[in-house]
Amino acid sequence: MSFSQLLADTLALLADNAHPFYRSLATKLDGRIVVFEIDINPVVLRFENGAHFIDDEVPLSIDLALSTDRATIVELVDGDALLIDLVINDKLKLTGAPDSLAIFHEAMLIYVNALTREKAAPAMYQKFTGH
Amino acid sequence: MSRTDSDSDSRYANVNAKASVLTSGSIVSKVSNSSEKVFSNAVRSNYVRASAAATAKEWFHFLIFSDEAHILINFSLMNQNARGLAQQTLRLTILINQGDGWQGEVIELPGPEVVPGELRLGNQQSYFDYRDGYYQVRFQGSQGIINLDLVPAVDGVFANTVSLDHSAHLKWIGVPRLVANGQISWQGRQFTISQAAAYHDHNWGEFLWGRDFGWVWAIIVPDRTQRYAAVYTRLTDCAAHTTLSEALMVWQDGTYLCTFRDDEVQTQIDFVDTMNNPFRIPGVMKLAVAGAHADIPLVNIQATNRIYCADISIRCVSLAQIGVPSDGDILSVSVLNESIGEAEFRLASDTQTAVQASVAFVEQVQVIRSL
Repeated sequence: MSFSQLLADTLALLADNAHPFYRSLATKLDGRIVVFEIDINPVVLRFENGAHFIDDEVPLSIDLALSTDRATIVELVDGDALLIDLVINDKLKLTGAPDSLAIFHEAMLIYVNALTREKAAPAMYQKFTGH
Repeated sequence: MSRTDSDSDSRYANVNAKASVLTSGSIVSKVSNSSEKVFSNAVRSNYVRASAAATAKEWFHFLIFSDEAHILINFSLMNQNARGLAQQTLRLTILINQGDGWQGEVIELPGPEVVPGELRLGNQQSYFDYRDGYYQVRFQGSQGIINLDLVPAVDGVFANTVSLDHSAHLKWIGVPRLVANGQISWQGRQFTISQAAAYHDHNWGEFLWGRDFGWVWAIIVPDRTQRYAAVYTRLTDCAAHTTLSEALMVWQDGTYLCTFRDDEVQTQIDFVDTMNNPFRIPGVMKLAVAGAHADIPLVNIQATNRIYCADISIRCVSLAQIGVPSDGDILSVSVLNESIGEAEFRLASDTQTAVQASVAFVEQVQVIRSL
């Protein structure tokens, strides 16, 4: 499973099962464009009017870029590495204005914490890791 | 709080003076009756509840202390709502410390067989099952294989209902000493458990993780040559500023001896060491929970009643964390800090003074909010 598919499936899960948290996430990121570059392939995430959109066309103006590889994402989610260590060691690069970085970090915490409460989330993640 | 030997000695003298007004015969009779009641209640009451209440929680907890490893195994049953439907979820938590660090995982067991009234919980491959006077604990998964038999070696105790906050409560049964035998294979490591000391408790109640409560649970487990086991419980508010209830239970030679309660117990918990980036499960909790440090507790307990005086000092040396998403607040996680350490245990009465150095385990609950 691609990162794009994992993002799409998990956000759809939250929109369906955990709407208050999804709404909180959508409010936090409303109008912002985040580009994930995972193993080079770009995934563009934007929220508008309380809904999310995912595509692979990178617009001229973006708010934040996260660049890493699949193995690093697995390290992060499995707890084998801390986010701060990955950033310091340039294994995960975050680029954006400070307020965008802060908002993205808060949104990521909402996203991850919401998924830890969803029974279907581990199976989606396992498809991504291939284990 | 610092204590001196002279402080302790004067306290023992007071206990001895109080105890001396009772005849030795009446002391023995009182303890014996209490013990039988505790034992029969504990045996009768230890079965799967599997309450259908939305906030019901129930878990069966095993700690094994062998020369090769300290092991925590927890079968936890809870009700979760998914798409408006209540579902019973059974999670197995395994923590293993072999002296060079922690390993472990939180595993959701598919297809759990939950039969209220039975003392068995799990699925075909992974379960615990009490039969013929001992617990079989089995796990089979990609992480490894666990094959343990645990034989209770002391009377159990059925504790009264304890309140966690305004509407929440917890009941529990504890067996502070079992003898464990078996084999464990975990992520490439294999070891044999032979005549190891172990602890078991069963907890159930209705509450929401993340509400205004916390606890400290400390267990002193004797080895084969030692006489005393002890369990300390302290229920507090979330910030641990207010103690709701406190108790220290002591067993001697396999028999329940006495309980010190509330005003009879004084506890001091200090944090003298900090652990950077402690082992935390599930692994995703390192991403979900802010903070990469944990304080390692140093626990001192003094307890005095009419007959006995107990002093316990527990110095924890290593800690692992289990993260449990809070039920209400999405950005908060209840973190169970599981510490192993060494305890010095001293018990005195008018007729005897016992001193014992044992292995100890301390569990503390704290709520961490990420934003």
